Amino acid sequence: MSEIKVDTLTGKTTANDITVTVGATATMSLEQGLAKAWGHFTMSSTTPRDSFNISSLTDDKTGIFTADYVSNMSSVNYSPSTGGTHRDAVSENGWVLAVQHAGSGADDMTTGELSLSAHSGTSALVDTVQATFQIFGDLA
Amino acid sequence: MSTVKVDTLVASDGTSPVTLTKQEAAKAWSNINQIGTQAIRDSFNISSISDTGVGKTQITVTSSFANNTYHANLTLRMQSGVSNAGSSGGINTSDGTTSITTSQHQLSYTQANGVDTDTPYGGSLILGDLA
Repeated sequence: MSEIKVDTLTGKTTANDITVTVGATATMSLEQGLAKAWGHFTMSSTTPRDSFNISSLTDDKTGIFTADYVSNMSSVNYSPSTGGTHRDAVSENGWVLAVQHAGSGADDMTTGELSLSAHSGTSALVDTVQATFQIFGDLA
Repeated sequence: MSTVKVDTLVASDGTSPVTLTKQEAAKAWSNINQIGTQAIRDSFNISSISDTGVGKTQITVTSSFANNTYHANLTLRMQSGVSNAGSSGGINTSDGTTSITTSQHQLSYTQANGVDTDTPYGGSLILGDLA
């Protein structure tokens, strides 16, 4: 096995375009497969437990937090995924953690931030003790 | 600090996958609108989608996976106080493998009460090994 030890990888032709072999024959863009931001936090604190590319967390109201990015996304059409929590037989607070929208979809998610809402089983907003999210897409 | 400028990375044997130390790249992701005629807003390694019912989207990838045991995570969406369409969902499968193939998986979205519903903001994130 050979190994390259390096601090920075940059596309030779295009800075963010490196093709990497990921299967027996399949290749893909390395940049497209890398998470651009992620976070792990509790809604009792605006300091994340851990995060990547997150500049700040804002407590908007019960059950809703907004995460701001250090480096912005290039469009509002990126792909966010979330993870809530469930405490068996005790509490359903935060069993659903979703991307919060005031409208019909990507129209209110910006390149610089997104809001997350935590819900109980009855759809009521609740602060959750553990929220996780990850963002894929293109940086600006 | 050292910098390598390169267009293609491949294992030293010329064909095998490259190992990324202590990390793994996503192999596919999507941002999908199920309302009306279903549409992809943005995606990676997705060749097409098809409307397979209320709240359901069949996703076909461009490069297939090595097996059908890959990891999938869904985008969930909520409009607090107005609509919970798309606040819950999962991969449509009876046992974790049925209906999941190396090239296709189906998203299934519901309201908070479990009723199937189209969501204006869905999609999936896939991790695993490509063929």
